[in-house]
Amino acid sequence: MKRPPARWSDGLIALHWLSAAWLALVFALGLAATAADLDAARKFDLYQTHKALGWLTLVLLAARLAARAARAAPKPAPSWSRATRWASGSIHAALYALLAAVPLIGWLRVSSAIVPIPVSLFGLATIPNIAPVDGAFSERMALAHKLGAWTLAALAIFHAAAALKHQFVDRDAILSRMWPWAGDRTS
Amino acid sequence: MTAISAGVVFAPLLLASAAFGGDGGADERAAWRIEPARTHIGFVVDAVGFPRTRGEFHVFNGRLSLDFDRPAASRVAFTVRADSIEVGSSSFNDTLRGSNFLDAQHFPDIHFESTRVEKRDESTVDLIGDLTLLGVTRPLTVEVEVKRLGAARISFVAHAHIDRLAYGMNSGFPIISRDVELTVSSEALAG
Repeated sequence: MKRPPARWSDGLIALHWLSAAWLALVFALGLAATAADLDAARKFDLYQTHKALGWLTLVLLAARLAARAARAAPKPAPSWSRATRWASGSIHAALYALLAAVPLIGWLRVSSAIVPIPVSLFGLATIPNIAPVDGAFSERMALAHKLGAWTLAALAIFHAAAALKHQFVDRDAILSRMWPWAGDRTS
Repeated sequence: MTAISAGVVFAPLLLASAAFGGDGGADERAAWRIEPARTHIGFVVDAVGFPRTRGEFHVFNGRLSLDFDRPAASRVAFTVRADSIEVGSSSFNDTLRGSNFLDAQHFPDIHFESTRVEKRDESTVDLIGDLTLLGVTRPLTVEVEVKRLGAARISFVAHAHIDRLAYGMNSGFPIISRDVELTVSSEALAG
């Protein structure tokens, strides 16, 4: 039997950090679009940029799932208790679920909105709508999108804090498996 | 600035100079030339949960035949190119030009033609006429305040309220208001 690798693959590590930076930007754009006191043109552009980059997170997620399926996951840290493994597994499952659900719900919100402004990938392509126009449904999706995004942000912060705690308090080198420049020390 | 923006800025000059060659019939009315550089065709639309949208149309031409002794004999016609809309964002412009709003590809011109002029007071008239938008023609009253800046120059500010639903522009209602406030400020020269 093939032994599980000590680290995530380079491709998956690259996609992980790219996703982290990308999602932080999309989240910031979403916050700015909804909260900032801006003129109509700036607000329109912020929404459109948020929608385009947000839709593209689905592509990033698909690439990550493909990279993950292509190679076995590293083995869990030997020091981890059953409860820690369960907690880690649950958080990761929830993160993946939200990474799919939040942009999909956003896409539903845009598709069903009374104001018909589809996702446009910077004028290069227009993403088709996936739901019929329904103002009440769209408003519910907007609320779900917002709650989902905040939950995702909170979970991502918890995920990062847990990785740092494992790395620097428990010293189980868990972060090294996902750290881009730690290959030599752990492989 | 891009080449496209430069084209938008200069196009009114060309259109306007082309439009006034043969105006002025054998009546008492005098043709006035609109000064494109001193003309602003602006609109304002409100929405719920979105800032007030202000924009302009940069390409237009107009004909003014004015009779100051008999204002009722005056005639005004104005044509605005729908795709010359400018709200300060190219993707927003494209959305407004698109089929959900101005549908500029199918309805390139927005046209107003006066049918009647009623004097309100010494400086204000009501221009009553027809507005054609999205191929639909509806009556429209435009309130115009006119100032004479000399024998050969006038300035005017025109206000009109357009109910976009009356022209079949339903997209986004009621999130986007049905009320569009139009303001045209301009100067014109005699002859």
